Amino acid sequence: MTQLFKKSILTPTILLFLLTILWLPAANAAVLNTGSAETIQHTATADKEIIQDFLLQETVQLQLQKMGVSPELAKARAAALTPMEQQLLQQKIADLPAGAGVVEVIGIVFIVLLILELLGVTDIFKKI
Amino acid sequence: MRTVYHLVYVLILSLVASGCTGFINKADRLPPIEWDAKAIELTTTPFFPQTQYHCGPASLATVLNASGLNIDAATLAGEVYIPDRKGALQVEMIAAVRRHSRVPYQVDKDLQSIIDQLEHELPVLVLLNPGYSALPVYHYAVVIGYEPGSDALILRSGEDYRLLMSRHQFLSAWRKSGNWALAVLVPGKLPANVNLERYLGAVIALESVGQWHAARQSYVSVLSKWPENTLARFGLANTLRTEGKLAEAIDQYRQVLKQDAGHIPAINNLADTFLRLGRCDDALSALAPALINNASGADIDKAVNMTRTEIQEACPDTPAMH
Repeated sequence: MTQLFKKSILTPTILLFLLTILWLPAANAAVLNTGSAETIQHTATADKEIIQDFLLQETVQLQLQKMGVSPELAKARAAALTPMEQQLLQQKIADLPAGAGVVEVIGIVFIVLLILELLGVTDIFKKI
Repeated sequence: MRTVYHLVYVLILSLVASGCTGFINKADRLPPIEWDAKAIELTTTPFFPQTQYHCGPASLATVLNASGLNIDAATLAGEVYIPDRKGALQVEMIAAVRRHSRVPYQVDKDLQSIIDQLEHELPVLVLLNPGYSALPVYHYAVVIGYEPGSDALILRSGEDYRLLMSRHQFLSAWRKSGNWALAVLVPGKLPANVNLERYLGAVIALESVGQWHAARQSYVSVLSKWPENTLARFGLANTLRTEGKLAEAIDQYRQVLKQDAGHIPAINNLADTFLRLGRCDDALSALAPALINNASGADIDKAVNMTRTEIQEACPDTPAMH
């Protein structure tokens, strides 16, 4: 019974879970892209003439703040960018190459595997 | 079955690599090409070992200190590190270089160009991706040399004071980051094999964020090698003007106009500089050539018209202009 349970339910579930997690970065990127694409469109049409460098700078400052940078540092950092760079950050701050965020996700998967192993579920790997 | 083990193996590797250490991806098996670079190592390049995720600030500290500054990685973390991204973005690394009055010059995307900078005594900041293209692990490091015996690049990287990375692994990891490489230049020093357009672009950006002194020195260095470069000359004039050296600025604007009499921005700025000195007649005659065909509504014409209005307001005795 236990064997049957492992084979028929647990195995597919865990494999699905792993697949889902491994796909996460791509899925995340897509969602963020939709959000930033909206911003681009907004900027390109109605507000193109209105949005001044100042507003762009303020947007970037707020983005940095939202991502954990302190307000005064964010202000100085947004001001240190050229308008073209500000535009790039405004559109892609979540997608541009940075540190090792994605590796963390894999790390979490590994920890899950480790827990599964400790629980004896790793049998799946040996008996498939 | 084997796939699963391979997966686990990859996961273990990834875990070991979490943070910004520079682990090596076993899958990189590009055939080595011929290469005959000489041994070189910038041994005096300082080293700032990274704390977790802080390879950006640490590498930045390495190149900035190598350029003669005295600044630590913790300070730079406040200028480039984004907590939610657990890393630093390339544009902010570039902006931070500017904030410290240095010229961030993007090196050509081939290894020889990096070696050329090293031979010019410039360590090169690089972005590497030793992970996979689909699962990237971005990492900043500083190339300081090349060792022909082991065919390896020498880097200040992560916690490694002297990391040897085979040329092979380096090229693979560098390619997956888009071959991004940056030289950090003291104003007045040009990079090896300078791409003038790219260098001037970096200097103009430096000027645009208020680093006038550094920008001026950089323009001077271009002009010492290419005295006929109108853009650098115009930049020099503008930085002089911004720094209040009006007489010198006028000289430079005039030189620009000697090379290119139809340089409307120079005409406009020259007139404006005369106006700041209270020289109404000179301002007026300087601006005259720009007042022909200036009704296009483009920014440049708007500026010319604004200068004309300013002259008229500031100099009530001036004859009417058309």
